[in-house]
Amino acid sequence: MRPLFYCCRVSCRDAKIRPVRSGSSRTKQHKRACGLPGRRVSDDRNLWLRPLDALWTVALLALLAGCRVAPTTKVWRAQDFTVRAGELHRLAVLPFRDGAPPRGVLWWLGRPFVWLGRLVSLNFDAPPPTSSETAVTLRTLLVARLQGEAVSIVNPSMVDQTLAALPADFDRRDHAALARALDVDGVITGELRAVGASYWLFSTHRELVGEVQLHCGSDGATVFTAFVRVDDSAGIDHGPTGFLSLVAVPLAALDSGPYTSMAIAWADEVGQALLGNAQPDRARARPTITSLSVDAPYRPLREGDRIIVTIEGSAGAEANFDLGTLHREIPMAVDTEAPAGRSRYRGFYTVRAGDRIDRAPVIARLAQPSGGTVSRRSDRLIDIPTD
Amino acid sequence: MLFAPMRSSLSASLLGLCLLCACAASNRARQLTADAALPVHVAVLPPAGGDLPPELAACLRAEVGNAFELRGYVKYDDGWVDQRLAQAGLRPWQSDWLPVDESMSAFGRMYGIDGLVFLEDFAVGNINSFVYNERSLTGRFRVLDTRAGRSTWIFDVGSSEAGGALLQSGQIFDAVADSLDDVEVRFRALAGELALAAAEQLPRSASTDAIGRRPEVRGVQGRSDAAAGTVEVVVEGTPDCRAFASLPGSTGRYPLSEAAPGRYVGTLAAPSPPMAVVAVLRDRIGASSKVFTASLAASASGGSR
Repeated sequence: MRPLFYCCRVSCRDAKIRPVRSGSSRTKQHKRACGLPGRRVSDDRNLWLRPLDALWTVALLALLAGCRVAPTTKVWRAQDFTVRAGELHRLAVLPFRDGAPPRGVLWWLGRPFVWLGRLVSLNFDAPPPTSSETAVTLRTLLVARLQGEAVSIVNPSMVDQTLAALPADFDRRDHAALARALDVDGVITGELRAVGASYWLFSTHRELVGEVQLHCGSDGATVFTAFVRVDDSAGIDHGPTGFLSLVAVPLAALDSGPYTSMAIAWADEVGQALLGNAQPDRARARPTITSLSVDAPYRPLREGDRIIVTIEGSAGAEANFDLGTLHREIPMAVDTEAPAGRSRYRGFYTVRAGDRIDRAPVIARLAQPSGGTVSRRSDRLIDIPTD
Repeated sequence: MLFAPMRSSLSASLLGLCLLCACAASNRARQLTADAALPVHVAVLPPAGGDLPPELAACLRAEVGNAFELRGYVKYDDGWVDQRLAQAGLRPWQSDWLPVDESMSAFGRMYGIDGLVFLEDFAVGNINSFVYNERSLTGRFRVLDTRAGRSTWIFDVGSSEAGGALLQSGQIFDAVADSLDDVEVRFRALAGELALAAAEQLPRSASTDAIGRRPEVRGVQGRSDAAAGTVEVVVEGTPDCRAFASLPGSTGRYPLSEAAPGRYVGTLAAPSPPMAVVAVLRDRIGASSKVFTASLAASASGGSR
């Protein structure tokens, strides 16, 4: 069977294709083949059209890919280093160093042309942030990305306050000493390597490059490094354009761009690399939950009662459940007694003194190591009244 | 009469300019009320009254909380706040969970929270027609001063982006990529941009604390029940925290309940009798204790690492 894209494109543009009366046997054959009404394609053309089609497809995909904010990541981690939910690391993210190269003479000389380009292309976007502003934004976004149940990130304002109070002769390159001063298990340092745009006649390439390192609090050793580059572009590689736009759009792009989006993509990439599957990437393929059952006494629960939660769904995932918002991410284990061919997970919670919840659902969750996650809420509501 | 064609072309030009301006992403954080200083210690509550999917709601909450931290405020840990809301008999898992301000002020005072940040009526908008695409995230956040019992700061916030073939000067590949983009990822980015815009509007806190003491685990006891495949764990430590226990090397951790001030209890699943148990505390501002590993053979003491 031919791919759908191939059939449609050829039937639309090939002048040698002879229209075939609707209802003829060949048309019916074609309908069966690709599911669309169409015209007959002469078989001798298929041989030389295939490489050309592949070329077109590759070119189109490359152009589409070029239009997206795309990160490139290089990660190194020490052997055995991983963020485990059971070992709640307390980390401090230090202010990022601004290591971006300063703007050269050419940048200043090009200003009038850039402004003219903005005027011609009616580009009234805000100018790009300075490198020092970008460094602050990257740190802020990274803190937001990492903060969660898996790691404990110290309030950055508190970090700044404590750093400001350190003695003047304190060696800030000694990460173990810094960790002791900040009372944390590890410190994250970061550096903005580059932010800005480069001009290539009919196209402008923007980039945001930053590096992050995690240092162990006990000996100062580096246990994790991520180097992330986020690219974006504007100009002819984004599709057909008029003569004026051909010149003006890339010029205008030198002085504007989606730098905030690029910074968010950068922080997402670093967060994903550091936390691994501790914080799943929602953009990836999701597992499925086919059934959820909650087994508990049908009455208000009291101390000692047990809530047993069972789900069926995708194999090879990590499962947990929430009891309303009283307790989150209670682990579930693979049920080894499940029938062959079915993946079942089971977990429980024993009600304790001090627990209280009012008609709360159980929210079960499956997360795949590759990053996808899915959750499902129970119809059964749990009631734990006060003692 | 002579000016009629000029007027129509002027209108067309203005319309074109408006469309082109709309092509860019826009963020707004408009302050509606500000009649007192913001409390230094705040808790950001789960969104109420909107139609956000749970994951986006959690993301927005984290981003807004981070905006407050960025400006020097001390934010209470979201998990700790949610647990206290549940214990107070509230239902933050529902979209319309928020009670009247008097009740919330009482809640805040009971748990020592000076300022409660409400995320109200947040809604997402999504038009994806290839010709014109628009995604938006709008809502309001309000700060309730629990000591004064009234709302002192109200912000109208929104973030949007528009695209599509109509607005992207015929750059067809941009329009296609924009139409195919993952909507969830785009909304998360909008939440981040919205929070950054809001952070610019917040005044810097006048009195930022230095890093305080971490909570401390003083002892862990474990009793293994091989027949039931469970371990009963008791952790002694700093009161008013959330406590977690796990088995060494395992994924996930079990939450414990605070049965008495500073005494946390819970039951862990253990397919085979474990040799040790790991415990950690997390306090109201999210600071975690050092990990405490206790040997179950000794059953009454352990060593921290």
